[in-house]
Amino acid sequence: MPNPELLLASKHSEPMASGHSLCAGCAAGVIVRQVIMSVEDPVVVANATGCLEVCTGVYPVTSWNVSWIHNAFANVAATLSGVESAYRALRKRGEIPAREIKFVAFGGDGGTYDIGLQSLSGVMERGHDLVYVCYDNGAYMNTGVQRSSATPLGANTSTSPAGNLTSGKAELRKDMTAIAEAHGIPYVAQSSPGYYMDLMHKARRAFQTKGPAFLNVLSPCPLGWASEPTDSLVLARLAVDTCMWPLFEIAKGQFSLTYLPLEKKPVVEWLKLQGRFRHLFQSDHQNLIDQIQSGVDQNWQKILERAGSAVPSFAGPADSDRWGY
Amino acid sequence: MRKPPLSGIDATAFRNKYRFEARLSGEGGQGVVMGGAILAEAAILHEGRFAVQSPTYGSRVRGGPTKVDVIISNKEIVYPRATDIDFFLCLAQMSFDKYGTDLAGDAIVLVDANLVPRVPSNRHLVYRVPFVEIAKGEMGNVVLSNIIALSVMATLTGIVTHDALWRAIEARVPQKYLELNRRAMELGLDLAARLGEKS
Amino acid sequence: MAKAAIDAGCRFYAGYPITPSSEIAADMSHLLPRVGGVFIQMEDEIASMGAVIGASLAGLKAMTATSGPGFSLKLENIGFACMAEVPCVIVNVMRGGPSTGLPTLPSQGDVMQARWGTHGDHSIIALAPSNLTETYWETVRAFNLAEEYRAPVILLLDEILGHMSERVELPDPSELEIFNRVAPQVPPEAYLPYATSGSHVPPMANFFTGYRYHVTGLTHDLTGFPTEDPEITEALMRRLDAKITDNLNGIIKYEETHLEDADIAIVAYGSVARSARVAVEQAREEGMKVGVFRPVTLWPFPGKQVAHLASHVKGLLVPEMNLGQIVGEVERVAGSTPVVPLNQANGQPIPPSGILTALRYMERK
Repeated sequence: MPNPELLLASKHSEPMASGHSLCAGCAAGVIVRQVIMSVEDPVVVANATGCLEVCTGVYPVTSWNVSWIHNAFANVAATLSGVESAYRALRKRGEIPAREIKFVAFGGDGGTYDIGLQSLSGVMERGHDLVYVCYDNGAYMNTGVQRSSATPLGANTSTSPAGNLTSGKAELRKDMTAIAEAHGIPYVAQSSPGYYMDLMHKARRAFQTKGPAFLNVLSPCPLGWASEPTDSLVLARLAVDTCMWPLFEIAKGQFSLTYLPLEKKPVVEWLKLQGRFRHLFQSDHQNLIDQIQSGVDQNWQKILERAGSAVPSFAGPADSDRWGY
Repeated sequence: MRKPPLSGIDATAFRNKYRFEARLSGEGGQGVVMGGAILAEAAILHEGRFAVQSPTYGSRVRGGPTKVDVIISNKEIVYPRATDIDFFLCLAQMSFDKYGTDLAGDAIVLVDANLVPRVPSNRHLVYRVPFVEIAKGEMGNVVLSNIIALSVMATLTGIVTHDALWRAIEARVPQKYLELNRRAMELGLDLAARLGEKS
Repeated sequence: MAKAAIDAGCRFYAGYPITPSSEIAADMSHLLPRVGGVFIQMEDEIASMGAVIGASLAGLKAMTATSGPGFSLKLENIGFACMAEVPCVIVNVMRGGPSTGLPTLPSQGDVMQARWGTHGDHSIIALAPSNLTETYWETVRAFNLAEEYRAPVILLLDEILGHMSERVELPDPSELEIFNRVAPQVPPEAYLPYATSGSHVPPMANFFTGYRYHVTGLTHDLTGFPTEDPEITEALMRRLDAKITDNLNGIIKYEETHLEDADIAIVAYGSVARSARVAVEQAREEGMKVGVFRPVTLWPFPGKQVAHLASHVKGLLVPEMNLGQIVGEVERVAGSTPVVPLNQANGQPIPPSGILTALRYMERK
């Protein structure tokens, strides 16, 4: 029996109500709320299997005040593309009122980088008018923290364990944002809930884009990262300030760096707040830390070169002229 | 380890029972399933008896009602779920509402005094102990509440010896937390000794 | 189960997280490096099955584990393993279905899918242990059968077995009888990868051992190259079928309890068989003459044994955690003996009391 406070909260006009059962400190809830708050039109939400789906939609309560579909693990993009195509056809035939509806898919890194990659690629190739948001927490969290191709190098997970023979994940992260960009879609961006204005501006642009838009958003997870729940947004900002997770966007092929840290912090500052990297600071793992740092540095160098002279002159996307609003 | 006298419960009856059935329940993350595993391991590995531990999870990795049925016997256990529960431990109201079923007529019920405010049964022997509050207050860590509860349970029922229980806990706990867990276990012993009758 | 696999010689695991089988993957990720084996978490279920096939062709004993939705995804590749005769073990820890279903609750709903899920005519071996010690032994047997018959073998568990722990007595690994695929006795020039002499199972050359041959899912001749010739095709299809159906003695396993003087026999498998055993004890105390026939090998189904049983009892009770799947097999061989299904597909185990009630009802009839 849902309690009265919950019932009241669910009457609020927010598309995703509070009272869901995401963990304390989970950034995914923050991300979803910020993203949907950035659009005024009604939305249809499709959700891949994962933390968000299972914590917002278990009977007898649901957090969603909007149309919401959960399909199979691999096909949130495909399913939503079916909805979007049907919507366009029905509108064209005049069978539904001419009213703007937006379509947004939420998938974790598991459902986006791995098992959902194929169907996302299909959507991007066919050019459907929808927004795909990946909340990237770097592992299959709800099934017990198994590694994904988004898990960073050196992270301890239940299937990339850190022990005597192995030191956490041995492979580099897949660059999903680059894969999306390679499909030539009109809008691709990387953002972080630690810089919520950046996230909201990008979400707004994504929804205004005609055609597929992809947002890759870092989502700290206290459970899987073995970090303090109160550190989640700190980690979301540190990831950006250490240049682990640069914030940029590519609109119609034009690259813009949207955030330049005032001071580039060493990556250990981000690593040391997470228990999944604890083994790096015990015994002899300095070369692994160095490897992580040089990977970050090389990537950041490439980003700076791409930005060229259009590097923002100050930190932060507070300038509304830049965003054209 | 010293054994305080038990009040009004026949411990040997439980040990000799054909099938002793316990259900430990709470919210995902409270350590209830681990508690069940420790209990089963104490019986199997450290007392040479038979035990089956059968957890039921919700679909979320954290939160949601969780339970584990632990059956202990001197003979092979065939059916792995509890149908006639002798001892029910509960650390969350939502779990009590969902899993407080199949209790035997003379079942013992042990709940967290603060987190399980509504125990509708009148006929069972009900003990209320503020485990989570005690764990936070006296031990500084809420994570130990399941160990305290387990220790109270073992003392009340005598279903596993304290020695066996400690060895099972020891096998699962990292070295640096051993002392803390030992204190938690002792705390449970004291609490059990001080428990009164039906509340 | 992971330990059993390692003891049986498994040195390759490719898989993908899915409740309630993820624990097997996590265990293998810890155990395999210690024995020089390979663990890969793949990008999805289909890829996992592909990798398992590849690893097996290369010469490693390979396995994967999943649950309903993942099993559905793996089916095409399982069919490939049947057609190309690639030994491998696939574990399905059954949960409530269809689709996402009941991710953390048990069922026996994939039993027919194990038999016929992949398309086309094919025979299959599927095993259903009913306690954890037996899970160990059946895992070892699964690998042995896969190697002996050059076939995929499916191990069917359910979430109850998948998540529970109990006391087990395990053998010393050195005492285990391990079977390995038969290597070719002829030099590479003379090797025909799908030719048999005597048994229906062709000797298998692992990659990297000097033999070069063609592996395909297309219907093929003895060289492995594709063909549509009706005679060759017919011969291949018949051999693949006979490989299993002519060797039932080596594959079928079952357990009979209290059936010597039984009027009613319960046919039950997996964790339901445990409830059945308890129900039988209680029924016997009430004076009823009942017993349990427990298939351990579900496919090929022990039809002959059940037919024989049916001719000696007055009724057969078939409890299943599904809406009736194995019961069809029982009905097929039961002749005029009445078969009573007891079905439950709600994620809850069938308790002994449920079976007892059904027995009492049958007794009255």
